[in-house]
Amino acid sequence: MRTAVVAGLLALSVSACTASPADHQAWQESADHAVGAAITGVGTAQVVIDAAAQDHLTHPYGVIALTDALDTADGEVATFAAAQPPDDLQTDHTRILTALHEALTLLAEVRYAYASPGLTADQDRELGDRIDDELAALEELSASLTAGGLS
Amino acid sequence: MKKFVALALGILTAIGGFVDIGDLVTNAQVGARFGLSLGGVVVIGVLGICVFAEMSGRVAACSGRATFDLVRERLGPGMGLLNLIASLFVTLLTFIAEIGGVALSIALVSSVSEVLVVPFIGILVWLVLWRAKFSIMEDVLGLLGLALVVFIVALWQLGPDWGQLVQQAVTMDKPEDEDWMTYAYYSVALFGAAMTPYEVFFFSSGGVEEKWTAKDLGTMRANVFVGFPLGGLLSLAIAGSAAMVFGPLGVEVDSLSQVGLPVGVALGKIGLAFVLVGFVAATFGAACETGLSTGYSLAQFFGWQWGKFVRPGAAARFHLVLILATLLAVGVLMTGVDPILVTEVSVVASAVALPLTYFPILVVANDRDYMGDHVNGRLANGLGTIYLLLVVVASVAAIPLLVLTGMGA
Repeated sequence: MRTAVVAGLLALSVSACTASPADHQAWQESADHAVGAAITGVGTAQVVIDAAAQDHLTHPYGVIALTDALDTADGEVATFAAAQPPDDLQTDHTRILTALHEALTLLAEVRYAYASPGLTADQDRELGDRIDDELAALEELSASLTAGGLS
Repeated sequence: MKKFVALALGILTAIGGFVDIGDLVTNAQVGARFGLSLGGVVVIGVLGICVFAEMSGRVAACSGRATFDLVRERLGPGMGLLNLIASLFVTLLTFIAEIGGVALSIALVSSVSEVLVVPFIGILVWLVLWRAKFSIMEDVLGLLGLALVVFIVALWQLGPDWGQLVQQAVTMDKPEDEDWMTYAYYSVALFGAAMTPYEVFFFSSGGVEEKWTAKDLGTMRANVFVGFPLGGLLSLAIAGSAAMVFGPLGVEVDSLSQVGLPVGVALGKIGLAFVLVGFVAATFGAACETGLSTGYSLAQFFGWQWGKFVRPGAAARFHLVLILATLLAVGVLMTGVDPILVTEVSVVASAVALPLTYFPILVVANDRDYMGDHVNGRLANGLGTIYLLLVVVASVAAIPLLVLTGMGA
């Protein structure tokens, strides 16, 4: 009896370590969360860039706000990327990951440009437009997810 | 005139000292996601802390003894120990979060990583706890904390639809895209942030430090019933500012830098300077209060000499606890753990520990042997009982809600 319990517990532990696909609901929640984190990061960057354009922020404060936004979004996206999607949602998973990586790349670009050497008025406008477009794309993605799927 | 100045100073420091890292972070998070629809919880929490702070202040003024001192004597060592363990755990967690909050605030000014700043802040906090006079520590940091009033100015400048904000708060109008479970989780977190246990320990022990007597009851009540609600107004302004700037973008608040951004947007660099001073003062003041509270609770339970009104040499064990608590906080933060995460955990842990903290105060405040003529009246008992029921509900619901919502994710 005791051997059977130990064997059962071992089997349970080993099965918990395998990369079995998440169920649909867990994947959906995880995707929602990751897209939400990207919206938070890009939205924060928009607030920082707009405020900096009006000379409303000190440079260190702006840099740290952008770094925090990038760090948080990066962590959430990494968690989503590491999870195994359900087999029939792999295409959606890849599509979301592509969108999230685009958002992270933009966030990193904004942070680098703002931190040094600083933004010119033209760069500020250009980055502002790209942030607006990225936010719109992420919000569309989020709305599709909430509605029940991408396909 | 001197009495009036003392009264005004007490009220101002109560306002400035009301907000800590838990209030800053939780109110901004809630504001960004729920607007002011949880404003009613802040009001309920502030009234609750007023009820119990007044009770514990009255106990200190009438008996000349602080909370833990009486809890063990009145309720026995078993109940006292349970109360001590729960409160000490939450207070230590809050102490870690506050030191982390100071580090994050300094990082916002200096761009130096918060992990590198933590040891210096630990030394500075310990130096203040060891050397600074109690009244100077409380007054200076409380007055500097008033810089956070800039959130009220910022909210005004952001030009909200006041009618809509009030309607949100009054009708508790949950946003459609949020579920009730998450709404309930943040209600409990806000309640825990407003009614943090250390506030009553610090308040009652501070009363003993400052040698309150029954003659000081009027001043104490003015501090509580005027200062705390005005401090609560700061909490609502933080939530309102976050709602105005982040709400329309669907942005959630995950960092201290985001908490101050709305003020920068509304008022520019001068506003931001006030925010930074306020952040440092509020978190540093709360770090000193929570640090002292760990020493107060242990020393009062075990009957050691305690307090800053005696020479450090005469209260060696009390000061040793302060050193160990500071070392523990610095050690935890040096691991690189996110202070915001510690803050989020600490406010929920506060909610869990609330009944163990507040029930004994209600019992002691009803004991005529300690309180004489100043024993609880009907109003204090009625409110105390209602709040005891509320804190039990919050305490029971806190952990299940934390698990079910994935910490409000």
